[in-house]
Amino acid sequence: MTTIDLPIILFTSTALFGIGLYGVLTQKSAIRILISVEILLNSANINFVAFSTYSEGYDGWTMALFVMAIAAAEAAIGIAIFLNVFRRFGSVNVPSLVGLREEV
Amino acid sequence: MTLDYSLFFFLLFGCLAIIFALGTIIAKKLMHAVLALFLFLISIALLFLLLNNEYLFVIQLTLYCGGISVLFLFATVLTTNQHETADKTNSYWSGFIAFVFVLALSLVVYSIDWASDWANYSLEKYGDPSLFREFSEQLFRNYPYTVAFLGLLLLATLIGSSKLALKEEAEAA
Repeated sequence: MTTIDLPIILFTSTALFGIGLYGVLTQKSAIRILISVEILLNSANINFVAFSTYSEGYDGWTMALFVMAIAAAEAAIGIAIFLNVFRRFGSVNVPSLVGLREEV
Repeated sequence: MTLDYSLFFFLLFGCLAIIFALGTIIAKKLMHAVLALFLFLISIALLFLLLNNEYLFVIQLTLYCGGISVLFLFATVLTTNQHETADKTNSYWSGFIAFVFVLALSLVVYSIDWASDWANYSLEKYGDPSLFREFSEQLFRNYPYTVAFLGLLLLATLIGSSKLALKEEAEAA
């Protein structure tokens, strides 16, 4: 039996979630925002795996697998979109993308 | 026995994951942020290994550390210009919101009586090789349609991102 307590795992993932949330809220560069989203998804994955390991079920592991696949799809599509944004605007800074808000 | 060191290694890699996650935010250059992300993902993979899941450990290494890191590396190379900075918006309020969120979640974790609520759950099967086979069987027995849907979703992602790139090339030509 392992000596890792469940609250330690949960506190770790909570700290990572907070860092990811701060990154999503503060970063200007779209690529950095995507990186922060990856941190958020990984911290959620830790929780899935931890609860699944402790409850002797496989549902959490399965969900973690699905989250990974969704995260891969999200990163690929997000980066493709922001590459197009860079070609059009010359920058991926999110605050400068005001084409929809103001008349260009 | 190696299991005796599991807590030490979990704390070590957990702290490393937190440090590297902070590194992605603090790093001035985008390339350094991607490097920190790569190290963060490796730390998470090792946490999965310590949580008795070799399957997700391998998937994390191949899909995240191998695939997504390189994807971000390409995105960095293709989108960086001289005006790229690590500027932040509304740092003060965002930090406050994130802090309150973490505090609330930590209070929830702290308030739960883990000793009694989760007393019946333990890692009796820790390190059992049959776990891997059972997990694979359960995955395809209980969630066959979801796995198929994920395949379709990833195919759509592949086609969609290719189309996004090709469309712009056609416009440029």
